Amino acid sequence: MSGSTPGFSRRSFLGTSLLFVGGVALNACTSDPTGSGSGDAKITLNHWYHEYGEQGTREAAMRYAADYTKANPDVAVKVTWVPGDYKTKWQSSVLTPDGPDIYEINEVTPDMVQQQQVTPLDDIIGSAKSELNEHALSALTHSGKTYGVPMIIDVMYLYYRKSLLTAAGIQPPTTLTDLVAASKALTKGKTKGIFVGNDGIAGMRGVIAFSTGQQYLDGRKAVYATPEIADALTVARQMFTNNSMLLNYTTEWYQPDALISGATAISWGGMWALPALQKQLAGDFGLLPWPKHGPNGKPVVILGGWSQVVNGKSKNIEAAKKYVQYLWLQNADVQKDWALSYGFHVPPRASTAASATPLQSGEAKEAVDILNQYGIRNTALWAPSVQKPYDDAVSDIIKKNADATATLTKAQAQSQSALDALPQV
Amino acid sequence: MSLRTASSGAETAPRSPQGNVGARRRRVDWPAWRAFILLTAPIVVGLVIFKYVAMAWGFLLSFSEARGTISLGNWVGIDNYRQLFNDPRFQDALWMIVLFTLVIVPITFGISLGLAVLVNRLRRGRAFFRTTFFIPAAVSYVVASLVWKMSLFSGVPASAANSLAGLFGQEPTAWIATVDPPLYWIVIITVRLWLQVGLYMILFLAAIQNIPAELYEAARVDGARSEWKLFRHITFPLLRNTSVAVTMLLIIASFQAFDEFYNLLSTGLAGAPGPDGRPPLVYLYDVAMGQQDYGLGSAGAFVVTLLIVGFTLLQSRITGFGKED
Repeated sequence: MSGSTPGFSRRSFLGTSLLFVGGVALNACTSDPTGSGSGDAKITLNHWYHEYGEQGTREAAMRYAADYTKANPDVAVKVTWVPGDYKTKWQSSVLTPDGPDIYEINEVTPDMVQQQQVTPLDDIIGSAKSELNEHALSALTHSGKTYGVPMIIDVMYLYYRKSLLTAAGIQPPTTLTDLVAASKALTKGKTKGIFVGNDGIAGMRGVIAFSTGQQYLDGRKAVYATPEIADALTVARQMFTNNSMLLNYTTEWYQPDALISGATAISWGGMWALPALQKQLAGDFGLLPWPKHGPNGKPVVILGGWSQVVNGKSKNIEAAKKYVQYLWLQNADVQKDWALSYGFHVPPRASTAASATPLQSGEAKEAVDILNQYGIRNTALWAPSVQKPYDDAVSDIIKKNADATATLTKAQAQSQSALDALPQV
Repeated sequence: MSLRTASSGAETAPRSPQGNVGARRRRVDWPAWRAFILLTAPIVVGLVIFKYVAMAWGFLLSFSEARGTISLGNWVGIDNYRQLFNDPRFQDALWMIVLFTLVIVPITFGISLGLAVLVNRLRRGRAFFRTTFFIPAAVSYVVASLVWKMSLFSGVPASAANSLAGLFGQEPTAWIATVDPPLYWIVIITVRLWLQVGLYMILFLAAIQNIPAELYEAARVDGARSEWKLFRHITFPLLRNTSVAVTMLLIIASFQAFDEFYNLLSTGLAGAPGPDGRPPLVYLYDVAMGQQDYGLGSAGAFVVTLLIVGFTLLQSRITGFGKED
């Protein structure tokens, strides 16, 4: 290779390629600039969404942003639709000064507050607070300050195939013992009794404590190592050991495929699956809360969902707050549209949910009713580091027949040290 | 690419035989150096910024409390390391990966060497078999994991593994979810074997083809009749350097196991895998990315690095890697 070829020099080639590669790398981080496109906006807000699976959500998000800019010509909004592992992406992005101004999360951990990844939003929430679902707010609240605005509530409970239960002469179970018996009786041929996740644990571990009428956390104390919870896990374990659980299916519990195909008779699932179930199994499915266990037990319906937060390191906190307020607090049409036009979720605001027609009848109404009656979720202190020892303990108890009380006691101590390590915010 | 310094030196040699050495030393070929720097700079700069700076930063982070932040300053000494070694879950992960290495390395080694010997002996279709065995090496770990998880070892009666078991009258089994007995090991070992064996087979095959045929002839003359004797006394000893290198690569790859564990054992929204089948990198991924504890995560990364370095040194000490023959 000769070093002095005239013409297109190596240096300019290299320079161009570097610029090109750099440009591609930069571009790959954000999707196409959208929202307004208004050239004279003084402020540009970066708004991140995770990739919603439902058709039309992305267009809707961009439409909301464009409408906002129409009403407020000074503010342009750039919507970034983040595919793939959204959590690690926003987490690494907010470590830098160039993170998004507004992004969505499932819960606010104390570390997020401590590191100013979020900012209190009480001033924009104002009087709406009393109307927002208390459990949706509890995952966003520390020391009385609320750091997020819920956008949608996802409800999780059990679905069952009516025809399969009738054929086996079984009533929908109302206690854990009944559920275990029903699962066993329903396991026949290619149909398993129950599906709570491919690992045999996923949907179940989060409900067990609540189903005994107890808690995982009491303020900053881990309190899940009780005889009642240990007993509930020991009873639930029978479903794993006597082969009445569907395991390692091709899709996960959050997709209704196992129920539709008849691979399972009962399945943990979410309200988002209702449209698919209504289409495929019309009249042949019912829903029920996770059954209670023990004398003080209560049926359980779990809340999840997405909330908007404003990055505490944003240069435009006030503008970002106004935007969040406009979309997710003032604009009932947007909230209804977002919750119900594409998928199937509950708007977090009581008045909005009450006036949403699709939630007024049929299974959707049932779901909203059991949500209002039994809905619960952990507080914002149930952070990943606190939760992990419990998850591992449940896995050992269910899958390896470990002694429930001893395993929970050990895990509770670990959860407690994780809790103690969380910043006081 | 060779730099022009050497060739221009050779050109001048006949003209000034006496001053040759001195002239070569003084006359630096600047255009060649410029080209060298220009061409290597991108990768060197990239390495420094994206690897060495990041590694140094990570090392400093491992001595500070860094939750939800990667800024330094909140120094805590060796607290992160102490916390890791007191964490039974991290200890379990370390034991798990050592056990995994002890299982996967010999098996992969044996199968790839065996395949290489067999393929080498083929009279016909050698290229076909070589390609066939090598193709899996080009498949991504994620794709292979999904194939293993959703079709080969899925828990439904129609999956490949369960159909096979059904022929012997076995009930359908949940291969991945069964941890007691640890059936999930079958899944994890087979997927890695399928992905790795081809590549190492190619390395062995190349080395085998480098062994001079005369050696075999001489050995036959000396009375080594059986194929096994030829393999034991000629092929295997002459493959020593390749064997040592392959073992080292296998050990490093095994300690860095992440992809198939994460993709096979995590369950969608439920997050990272449970306590069974959680190698250190999966554990640390959860600490750093799930719990945002970057200090603890960095400390763990350096523990794993030390472990890899330790095992590699131990192995090269035992096998005498790098020594002249």
